[in-house]
Amino acid sequence: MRAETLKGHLDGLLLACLEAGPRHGYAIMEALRAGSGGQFDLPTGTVYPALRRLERAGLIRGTWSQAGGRQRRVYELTPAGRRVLAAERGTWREFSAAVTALLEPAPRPVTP
Amino acid sequence: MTGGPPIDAYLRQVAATMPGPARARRDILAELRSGLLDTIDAHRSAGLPAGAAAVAAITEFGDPRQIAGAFERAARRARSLPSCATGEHVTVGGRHQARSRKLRHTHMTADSALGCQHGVVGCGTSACERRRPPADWSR
Repeated sequence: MRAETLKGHLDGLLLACLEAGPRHGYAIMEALRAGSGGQFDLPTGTVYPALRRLERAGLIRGTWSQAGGRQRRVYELTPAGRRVLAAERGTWREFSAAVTALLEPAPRPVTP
Repeated sequence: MTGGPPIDAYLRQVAATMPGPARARRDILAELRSGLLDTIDAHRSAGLPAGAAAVAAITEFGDPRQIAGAFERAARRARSLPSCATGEHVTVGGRHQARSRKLRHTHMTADSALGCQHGVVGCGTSACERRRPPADWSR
């Protein structure tokens, strides 16, 4: 799937990837790949600008920690991020239900 | 562990096309290096030798110009759009301006940690009421 298709949803998806707990950038990307059955396979580098934007917006917090003999950047949801994620989820449910209702063909009555 | 010459060269390419203040650039490059090292670790755990793991990580990260461009767009967006999360734009009954027409609304809360994200993921908090924008939002 192309990156443009994801446009407008990536931020919400990144927040969702952090819902279960803190992760580093690569693990977020892996979660995105695995969670979408391989459909969302973006260049790993592009996740970092998105994470930075979310961090500046106060939705996630990045911290440096010492692990395996080096500094590692780990990201976690802030309370504000959790609230925005919940709201995104609600909006998406309504939107996807409406699109599905319109795009999917109505079931035809069974004729013998 | 810094990742060695291929990682240094890759980060130099990102830095070369990345505008902005030196400090912000340094932070971004440190963050990217950390990400590249995590990616190398993952490839090594999967059985690749060090050199091949570094090449795979760089390939996976993508075009350095694309990444630099994405950081620039992220910074521009952060500059042009106010964020409630800073607390700067939120007051009781106060107004909050967003340039995106779709997201114009008034905040009716003093909670500075609401995380209202104009242009990021939309302001979906229940405390944030969408309403007709006042006249001074015509810009």
